[in-house]
Amino acid sequence: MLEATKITLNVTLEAFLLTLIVFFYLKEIGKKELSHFFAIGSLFGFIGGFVLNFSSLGERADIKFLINKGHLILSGGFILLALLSLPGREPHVVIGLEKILKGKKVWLIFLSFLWGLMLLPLESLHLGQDIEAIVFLKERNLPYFFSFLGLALGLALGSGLFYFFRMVRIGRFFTFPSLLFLIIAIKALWEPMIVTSIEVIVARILHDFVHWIIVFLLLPDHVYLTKFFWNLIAFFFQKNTSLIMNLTFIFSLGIFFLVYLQRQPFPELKGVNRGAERRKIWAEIRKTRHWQMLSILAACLILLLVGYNAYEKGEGLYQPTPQPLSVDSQGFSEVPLSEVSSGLMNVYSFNYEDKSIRFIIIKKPDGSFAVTLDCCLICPPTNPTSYAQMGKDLFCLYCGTPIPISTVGKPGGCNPIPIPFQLIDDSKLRFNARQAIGTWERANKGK
Amino acid sequence: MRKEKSPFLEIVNLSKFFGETKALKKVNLQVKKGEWVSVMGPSGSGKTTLLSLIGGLIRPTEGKVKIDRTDLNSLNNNEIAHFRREKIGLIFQQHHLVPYLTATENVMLAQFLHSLPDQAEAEEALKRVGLGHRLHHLPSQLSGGEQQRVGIARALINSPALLLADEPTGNLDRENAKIVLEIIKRLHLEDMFTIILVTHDPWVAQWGERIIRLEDGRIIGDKVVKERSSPKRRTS
Ligand SMILES: Nc1ncnc2c1ncn2[C@@H]1O[C@H](COP(=O)(O)OP(=O)(O)OP(=O)(O)O)[C@@H](O)[C@H]1O
Ligand SMILES: [Mg+2]
Repeated sequence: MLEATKITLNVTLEAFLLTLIVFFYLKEIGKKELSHFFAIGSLFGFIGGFVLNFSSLGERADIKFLINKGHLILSGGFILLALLSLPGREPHVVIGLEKILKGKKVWLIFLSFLWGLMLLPLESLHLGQDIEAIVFLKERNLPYFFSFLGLALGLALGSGLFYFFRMVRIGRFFTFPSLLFLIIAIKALWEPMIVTSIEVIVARILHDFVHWIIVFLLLPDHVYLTKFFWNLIAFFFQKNTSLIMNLTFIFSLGIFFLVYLQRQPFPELKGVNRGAERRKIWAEIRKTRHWQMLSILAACLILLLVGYNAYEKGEGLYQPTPQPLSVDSQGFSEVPLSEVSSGLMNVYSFNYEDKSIRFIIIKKPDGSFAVTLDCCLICPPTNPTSYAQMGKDLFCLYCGTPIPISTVGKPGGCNPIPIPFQLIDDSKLRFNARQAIGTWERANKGK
Repeated sequence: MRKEKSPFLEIVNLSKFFGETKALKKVNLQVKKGEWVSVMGPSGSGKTTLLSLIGGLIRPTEGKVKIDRTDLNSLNNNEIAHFRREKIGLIFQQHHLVPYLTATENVMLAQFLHSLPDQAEAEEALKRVGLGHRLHHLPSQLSGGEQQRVGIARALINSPALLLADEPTGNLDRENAKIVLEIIKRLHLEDMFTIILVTHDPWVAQWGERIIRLEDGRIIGDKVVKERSSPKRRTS
């Protein structure tokens, strides 16, 4: 019950925090037009979130996918914008943007639309990996009343925030880069892996390319590419590495901003003759800068907490002991679904004559099942298992490649080799274990 | 134009008692912006007390001091300190320089307390008082006259509207006193700040445009001795 309240309160406050800070910043630097469009964009985000929440649209995978990607691109875009805005001399210059947008309502509307899109996921959806998004109200089957209670509380607190921010003139504590930086930090509260997808995609392309060459050239083995080499590649897309790289990236950005602010020279102040007067203005600027630095430091602190939290929660490796597989006289095996429906991988070993092979059976997030060998076409099998599970990924213990469980059962590359199976009476899986010995041997020949 | 009419410094019924001692008794005084007023009187007549009250260093027993239309009584201690930093420069007989800071650093300290230090500006100010060759000397390495000139540079670095000087030449021989007074005169012509200068020396007093005589805590004489100087452009 209260969980529903907590969730809505959480997202509403987060959306308010982001919206208000940006809104007041734009007001502070006198960009009224932009601030209005921004407010409209936020409204769009809120309303859109509700529509998605309470209509069937929110359950459509393609829409979730769109939002997820849009979210990611915008996050990246924000970092980029933050960097681009650095060359601005004055502390409050939004470089170029103002000039480009001047008088172009269409662009302003587009911009506010983008911002609304950015708010959407915060406000209505929780997007997990592999777009297994849940619309938190519906799919968790939480009662609407408690959700609305959270929303009401969020609105109340949000209005409080509005008056507080207006009172302290929050906008003056930010420069454009530090503002974006704080937004990233606040968003990281929700999802610390801001750049992870890009980085994983790059690493995976590299990895698959190397694998592809090996397969293509029919190299008998990893003659040159030893386990060490594979581990090196895999290092870049292990979960904690990715988290650390993300945080390092964002932190260095923060430190860059700090140093930049610190080293920015004071303006010339033509027309001010008295040294004392000039120094006073400079002192004021310096004070403002210190506040701006504080906002960056606050963002760093938030990130640190988020990072620590995510690191602590980091999933461990699940590596089950292989269970002996019972096989009938024809070589067929039947595994009851009850054994595999937990979502955790199951490993079975099968000995026939002097040969020994292993199977993986797993229930996928979409509810379907996969039966595979515990080996792939490329890496030699390791003991006691070749794969282990880490959260929603299988992990090749030889080369370290993570395989999203949703793709297990598909052939090729680093994926475990799939075995044909039948689903019988919706209660058990049946497959030919003896036939699979040949596949295993072909795959591992010469490794 | 209204601004011209209301006096820059207005003292109304100002009294200060130290227990039994009545150092100042119902003093009334008005000083125009940019005026140079000398305050003369024998020892114990209340000159320093008057200056301290104007500078907000002590609180009056009675009456009020208004500077640039701000009543000092309406300010709390913090606000008075802030007001002093902004508007008032102080020079004493004892220079009160920080002994382990160089001339430049002593001036920069005043800048720092006001807003932020600016070495180039501090050095420029010292050059204006003829100490371009003594920038990095400690007070102990400077003569009395030079020390007092550092004191002047420090008092004026934040462009105060009012300069309060208590026996600024009290420790100096005639020759050095003349150098110091020449400097004050030049800077006064350039920046047109108001000066209240306390002295018991008639020769020093006649550098001002108006001489106030104090005796036993009362004003007993007030006369204009010179035409008001008109501002000169700074020539450096
Ligand atoms: N803090 C104090 N406590 C007690 N009495 C004081 C204090 N300050 C000054 N007085 C007394 O008030 C009277 C006026 O002192 P004040 O210092 O104003 O004289 P002055 O005109 O500056 O004299 P001088 O020319 O010697 O410097 C003196 O009798 C002095 O003893
Ligand atoms: Mg005295």
